[in-house]
Amino acid sequence: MLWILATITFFMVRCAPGGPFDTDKPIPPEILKNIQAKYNLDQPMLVQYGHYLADLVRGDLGPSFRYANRTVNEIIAETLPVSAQLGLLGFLFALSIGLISGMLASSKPNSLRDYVPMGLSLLGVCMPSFVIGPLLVLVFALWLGWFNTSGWEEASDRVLPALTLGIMYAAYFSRLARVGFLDILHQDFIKTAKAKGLSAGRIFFRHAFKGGVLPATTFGGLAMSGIVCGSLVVETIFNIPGLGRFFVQSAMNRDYTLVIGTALLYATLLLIMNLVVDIAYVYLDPRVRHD
Amino acid sequence: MAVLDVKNLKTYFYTREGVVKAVDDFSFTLEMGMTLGIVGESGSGKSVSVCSLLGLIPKPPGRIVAGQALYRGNDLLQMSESQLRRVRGKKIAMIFQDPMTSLNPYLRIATQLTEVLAMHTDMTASQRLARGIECMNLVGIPNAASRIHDYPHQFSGGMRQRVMIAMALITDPDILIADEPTTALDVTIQAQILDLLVDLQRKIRMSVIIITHDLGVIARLSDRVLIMYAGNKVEEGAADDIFYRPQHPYTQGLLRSLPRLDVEHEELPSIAGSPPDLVLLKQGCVFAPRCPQRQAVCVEDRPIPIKRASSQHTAKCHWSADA
Ligand SMILES: Nc1ncnc2c1ncn2[C@@H]1O[C@H](COP(=O)(O)OP(=O)(O)OP(=O)(O)O)[C@@H](O)[C@H]1O
Ligand SMILES: [Mg+2]
Repeated sequence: MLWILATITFFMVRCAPGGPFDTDKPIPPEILKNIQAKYNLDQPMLVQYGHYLADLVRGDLGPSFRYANRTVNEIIAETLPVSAQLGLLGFLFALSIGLISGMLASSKPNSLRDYVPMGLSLLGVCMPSFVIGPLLVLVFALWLGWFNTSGWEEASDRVLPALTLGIMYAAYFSRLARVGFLDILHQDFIKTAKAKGLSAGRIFFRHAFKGGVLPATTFGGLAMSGIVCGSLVVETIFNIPGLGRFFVQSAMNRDYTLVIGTALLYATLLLIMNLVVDIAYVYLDPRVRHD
Repeated sequence: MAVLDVKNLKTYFYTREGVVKAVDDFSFTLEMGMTLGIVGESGSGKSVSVCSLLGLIPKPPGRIVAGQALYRGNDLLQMSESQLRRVRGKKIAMIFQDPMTSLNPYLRIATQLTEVLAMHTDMTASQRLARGIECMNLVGIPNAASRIHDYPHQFSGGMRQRVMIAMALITDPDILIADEPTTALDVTIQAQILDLLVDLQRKIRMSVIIITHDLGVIARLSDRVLIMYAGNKVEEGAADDIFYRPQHPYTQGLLRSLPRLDVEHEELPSIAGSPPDLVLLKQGCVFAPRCPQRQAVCVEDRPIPIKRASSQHTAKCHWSADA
């Protein structure tokens, strides 16, 4: 799976017009030759591919073409924690706000408690992050002065990017949780639970919970991949030194190894996340477990 | 002594189409240790009437408009939600029609079976589990001690209904209400569940209300029978009275539509027409539009007399015989 992806990206970046060392001013041919020799670029494509795969198996993603003296592994080690933190915060925000508001809405449908979160979530679903981000900056950073407009130094610098990243998914989670719980709360077994004299709280959290969060869980995998992709935009908006920004830049700079390395990393992450979602699904629904 | 005394219960649903008079005139007395059968076509208000007693009607759109339901002298219809919760499951337990959907697929049987005990008693977890296994044995589930840890989907329909019955019996309730406990099952399984209920009735002397549209079930289980039509109680009496001396034209029609072994049928006679729309109920007797014995007086707007064929046998009809 990952090998297929590595192969595809490997040849695709080399097919794209332009090379890593294209500049406005022509470089003297002998220097260019030296550089290309250093990165094996002078050899036939298949030989380059062979070298690359051999390194990859050893876990070495190779040197960066653009950031001299730095390997792709080093760049990832430096920037991944930043991106992971941002993604995780965004996801937790989306999940918690989404589930809580959705559950609130479902507990009393067609009331104010339902209309307010659902109205907000409609907004959230519609607004892309490059609109929400600047809007949040405008209100909370420029007008109210609560946060910095960009950067990643203080703890409070995490708030606006995480919100920007998570808001759309919070909105989706909220709608899915509402639908999920409304559906479950109309099932026969909820009536059975009531007839047994259980309290409303126990019915909601014990009898309705697992089934109620299932639709949201199914969406969890998509949300995680969406957040990974969204972080590319958000890191650029807020000028955050994360992996996403390097990925975008590396693609523009034709930094072959960095492009492939980050693409591989993202793919691995997505695979793991989908696995996590599948496990959560099996945990929640016993019927899947035994079939 | 009466454990449950229901008087003039009326439950209406206020829907967009109009007021659905699901239960419009419903009274009965349940004696201690006796079994009352409630019979009626689909939509006649059987489930709504018993659910009203325990506050299980969705409100809105439902509303209990009038009536009284005295359980050991206390009116269930006046109780607060928390008072009712102490009655539900503990004093009055219910079994529902469809065992495939009435058990929670996400929770283990042990959890669902014993949580009533956690709610209503101060038993420890191991005592609750032991009691759960005991009840599963009582209703004839093999390997109860290990199967109690399974999930509902690992049981067949018949076994799930046994679990439902065990769940209802686990607190030793005063009253068991079984709402069509066999309707959703295969015919052979129906017979087994019925045998089980008869057997339990003999072992545990509790009061039972059994709802069905199967007169065969009633014949095997009930001491008294109540016939419902379009939210109204049209006839009530001892099981023998209802089967051998039916008074109301509707009851007579129901009995005629039963297959009989001693008579050869070309075609079973059925009651002409279809059940009324509960929103568009007209004045007069609810059964009048389909009644073979309809007279002018039946469609007039005047109270229908309750005729007594005997001291314990009544019918709501202008034409029933009076004792
Ligand atoms: N939530 C509701 N809203 C509106 N009408 C309802 C509602 N619940 C029940 N009713 C109406 O009340 C009437 C009685 O329903 P009920 O479920 O008591 O019938 P039943 O005698 O139990 O029938 P069955 O044999 O099919 O179970 C039906 O006509 C139904 O349409
Ligand atoms: Mg019913």
